[in-house]
Amino acid sequence: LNVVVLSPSVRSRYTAAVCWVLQQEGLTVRRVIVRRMLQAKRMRAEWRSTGGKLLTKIVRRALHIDSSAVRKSGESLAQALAAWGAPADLHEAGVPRLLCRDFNDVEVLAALENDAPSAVFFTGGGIIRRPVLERSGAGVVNCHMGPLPRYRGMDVVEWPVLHGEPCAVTCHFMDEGLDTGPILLSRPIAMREEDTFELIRVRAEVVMVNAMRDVAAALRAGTLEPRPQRIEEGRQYFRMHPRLLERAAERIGEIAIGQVNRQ
Amino acid sequence: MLADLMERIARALDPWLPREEAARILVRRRDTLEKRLRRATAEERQRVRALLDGPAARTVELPVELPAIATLVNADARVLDALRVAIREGAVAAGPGLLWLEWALRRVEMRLPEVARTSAGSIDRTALLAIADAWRIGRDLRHLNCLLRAGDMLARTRPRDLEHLAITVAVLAAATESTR
Repeated sequence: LNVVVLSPSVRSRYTAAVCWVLQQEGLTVRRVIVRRMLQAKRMRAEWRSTGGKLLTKIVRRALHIDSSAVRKSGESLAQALAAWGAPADLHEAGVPRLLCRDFNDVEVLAALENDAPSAVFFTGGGIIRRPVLERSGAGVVNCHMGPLPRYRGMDVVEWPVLHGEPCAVTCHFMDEGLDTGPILLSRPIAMREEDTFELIRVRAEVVMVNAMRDVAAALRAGTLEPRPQRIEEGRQYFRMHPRLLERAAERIGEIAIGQVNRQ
Repeated sequence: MLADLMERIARALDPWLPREEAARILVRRRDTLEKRLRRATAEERQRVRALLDGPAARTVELPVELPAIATLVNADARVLDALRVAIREGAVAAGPGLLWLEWALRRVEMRLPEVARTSAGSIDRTALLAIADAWRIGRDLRHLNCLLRAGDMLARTRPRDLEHLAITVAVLAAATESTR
């Protein structure tokens, strides 16, 4: 089976990891379509959402800088990639790449028509419109960092915790809504009493890669069973205010204990 | 009027926002508002009073007095009708009211990052006040989150007019109101 991967940056470790697991599952990654980072339109959009943190974000992404807490945890995606013997980024992966300004550009549509992929795997980089969805074989697979259908949108690791619920990642086919496409599978994220949200997110990235691997295996075996979401089953969440974030952080321990007790 | 509001806020020691932090912001805004009110015309005073006595600044939940705000912000009548439905039905039940309330939330949230770098005047004030009411009725943490974020933005920007100041006070009042 041929697949195409959509990537937010040539330096994305997540994209490299997903490409690697897809190949491990016997899928052929025909092409990685990478959205150019340094372009006015994208910079404006990023500036609107991140403001003064934009420069830090770019530098961290470009140079793969992890905090000391993450490095010490031994659970980062970088460390997982090294342990798997997988390439650290797309430069090392050696997969054909197409750079684009936007995933909905004409040259991307032409590439998808040419490649005729069985499915497309999304690893970030912006909004996908109908023409792309229509040229993506079985569909565009995304792994959402929160439990669907209940938690759509942003900060979906933190919002369930604030409500006293455990974290999970969810693979789904993308549609024109925000995280509203048919659900493929869900995987829990293990939590520990001493966790921080930074560490949970780092751990979640590895869970996401493994979830994408499971989707790839099911796609190859022809056993994918998409379950449509009903809009009323979930709600859209937005960036969490620091005050509520503190409240949520206080609940991590109790949820981690709950997870252990259930086991 | 303002003294009552401040007293109520001070009493409402909300677990979600430290009393001293809320008080600091509110006192600063209230002082500015009072100074400006002294120089305001009778019509301006009346409009601000309608806001401060309106839904976001009161403890009663219904009915919601949106017409006063409608005049203030020159909002589209259809939007206001929809918001009125949202407030009455949406925060407590599913259906079209809930969808309209979701719309109001999205409308405010999407604007916040930009507003933080421009001016508070860009926030849809009617939608924001609807969210303030929805928080009182439904206790949906997303609404409180929106109020806290909007409160931050409004408090950070330079007060440009009386309505802006009144909205700031009203939104912060809603956010600091006790959840118990």
